[in-house]
Amino acid sequence: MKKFTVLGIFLLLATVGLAQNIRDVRINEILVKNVDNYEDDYGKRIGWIELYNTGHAKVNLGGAYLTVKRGDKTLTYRIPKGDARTVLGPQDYMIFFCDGSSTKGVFHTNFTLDQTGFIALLDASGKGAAIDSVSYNVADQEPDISMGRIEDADGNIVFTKLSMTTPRATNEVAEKVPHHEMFRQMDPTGIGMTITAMSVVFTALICLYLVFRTLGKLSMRLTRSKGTQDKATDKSATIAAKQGSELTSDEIAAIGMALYQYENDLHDIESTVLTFNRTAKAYSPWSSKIYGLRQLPNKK
Amino acid sequence: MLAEVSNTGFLEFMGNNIREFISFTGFANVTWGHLAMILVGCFFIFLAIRYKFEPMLLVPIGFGILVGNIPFYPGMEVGIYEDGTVLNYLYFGVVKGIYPPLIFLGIGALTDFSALISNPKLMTVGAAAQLGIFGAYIIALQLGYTAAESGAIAIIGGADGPTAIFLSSKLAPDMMGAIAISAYSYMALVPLIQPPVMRLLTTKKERLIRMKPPRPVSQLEKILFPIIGLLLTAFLVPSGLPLLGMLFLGNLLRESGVTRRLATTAGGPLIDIVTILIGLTVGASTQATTFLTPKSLGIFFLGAISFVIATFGGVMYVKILNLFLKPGNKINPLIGNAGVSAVPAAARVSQDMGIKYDRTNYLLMHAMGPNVAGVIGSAVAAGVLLGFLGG
Repeated sequence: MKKFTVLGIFLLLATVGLAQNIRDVRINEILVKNVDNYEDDYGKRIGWIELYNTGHAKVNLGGAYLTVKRGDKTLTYRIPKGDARTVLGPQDYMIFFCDGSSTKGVFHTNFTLDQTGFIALLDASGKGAAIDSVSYNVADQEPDISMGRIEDADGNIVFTKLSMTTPRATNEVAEKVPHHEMFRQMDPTGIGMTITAMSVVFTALICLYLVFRTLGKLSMRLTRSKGTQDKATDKSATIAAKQGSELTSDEIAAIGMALYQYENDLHDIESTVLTFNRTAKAYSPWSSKIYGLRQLPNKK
Repeated sequence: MLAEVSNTGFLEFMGNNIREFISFTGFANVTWGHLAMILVGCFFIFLAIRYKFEPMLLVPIGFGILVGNIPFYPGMEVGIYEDGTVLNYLYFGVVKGIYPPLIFLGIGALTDFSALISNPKLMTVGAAAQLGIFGAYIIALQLGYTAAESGAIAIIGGADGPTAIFLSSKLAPDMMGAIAISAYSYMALVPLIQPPVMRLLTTKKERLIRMKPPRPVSQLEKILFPIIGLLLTAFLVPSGLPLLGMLFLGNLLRESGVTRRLATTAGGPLIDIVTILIGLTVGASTQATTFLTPKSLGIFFLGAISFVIATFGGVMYVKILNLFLKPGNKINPLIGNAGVSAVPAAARVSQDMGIKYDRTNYLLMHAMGPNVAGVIGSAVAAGVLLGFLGG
């Protein structure tokens, strides 16, 4: 029963893990009117959808759905399962051409983008809330001008017209100042960084200090109360301990030897126990070195 | 006649081949830069063998410098920076930051945190000594390094080789060789750098302070330390997780009492293997063409400064802390320097300085507290720098 519970939990976690992976995929860019832009594998220029894996793990899109209208099966494309090409790498892009054809292969959908002004990505169940969806006005679409996810001035992600199409690439084409350079511009002396970072380091170690100061006090209190109890309940043990403190030199030597063996991994491994083994010196002429050596010839 | 022609052809053929062979040799491609770096490598090996300065590190690094500075004709697929070469594969562990966490696993398995647990206020000394990192960061910024480069250089002040390699591989990969060499060199020179600063900042009376002997630490406390330590520090600085996670895992293997074999492997063969690989490849990465630049000189200058500031931070912090402590609980400021990590060299400096002024005042056990706290502190500081400046 216990084994099945563990297995069940494991499977549940694995399922959650897989589900989380496909949830990282986003509709990153769409081009509805492709006149003089990215060509498909047949050399044709048709509207396309770009999916982007925002996560850091591979995602297999096989079995997932792309739909331009929810609930209408004729306008839904199921990405075929069992094709290695549908595995989307971490932070990678995948393009689907929307030519309304069902005979041109895995990356051609059976709908076109000018049908409804809506596109959604659904998981393998084909039901429930969309993983991602975008709406657009078909009439507003200009030739070779794509729409895509991009960060606006306030740092929010918006789906809007892009200055240039970027199939299989990031939509952020504007030159971005590296994070560390922004840090330098905002804090040219480095004093802000020093104060902040030292505060973090101190906080981490002060937290550890507080926890272990409390733990230490508790531990000492426990040790003391245990010691008091032991004294009260067993006086004979104290006497024995006192007697035990007067060790003979042989006993000290034996403890020393046991400790030596323990340190050199010759001793049995037992927690806080030292075992004194009797060493029997069994003599046999068969194992004696003398009998195995050639005798020197007698020259007399 | 035919034989004569074929003989001439053969001689010409052999001559061409010999000429080509000579053009491939190190003698034909050597530059003054290569020779200078070979001398540096020999000097490192000399320091390690003659003066026993961090020999476990300086011997592989010194030899690595020799390996990396053997001149060769470009494109022979032997250099560390050439794709697909054996050295390039080994160097992958440095570039991708794989080796430093593995070394931290071993350090965790070798470190006894008892001194720290028995007197936990010494943890804050390990935090104070990280001032060296951020002091160097400020100076590096003023010298015109970018913020990412400054952060990578500044971590030298953490006096922790694996942390320095880990952070520089993320923030300034092209400077990693110089940063690693600088960090390890100054760690080896801790007995020369720190004592003058310590003497300058302390009075004779302070150097004679006797500290309370540490209390015994229970097994439970030792087991809880890596678990709580990880949770507290990694929740605060997740970017330091590779280093902190491995450090505390190694320590738990040691203290749990049930994974003796794993702890022995982590603290023995594993750390030895990784140390050889990291030493060799970091040394080999210092090819004259990439290493001998004005920036490298700046890195060495800033490294020395960072060690001085770190020592200053640790010692001064203890002096300030003493103002608030009762007479019996005062801390000897000579252990403040040990907060700079560099285990156990910095703690040995405290011990040596202590017995110089009082032959019966043994500070080693007390100094080990801030020393190991410095390891945690520098890993946290690296996490902060990576979090702020990475990406």
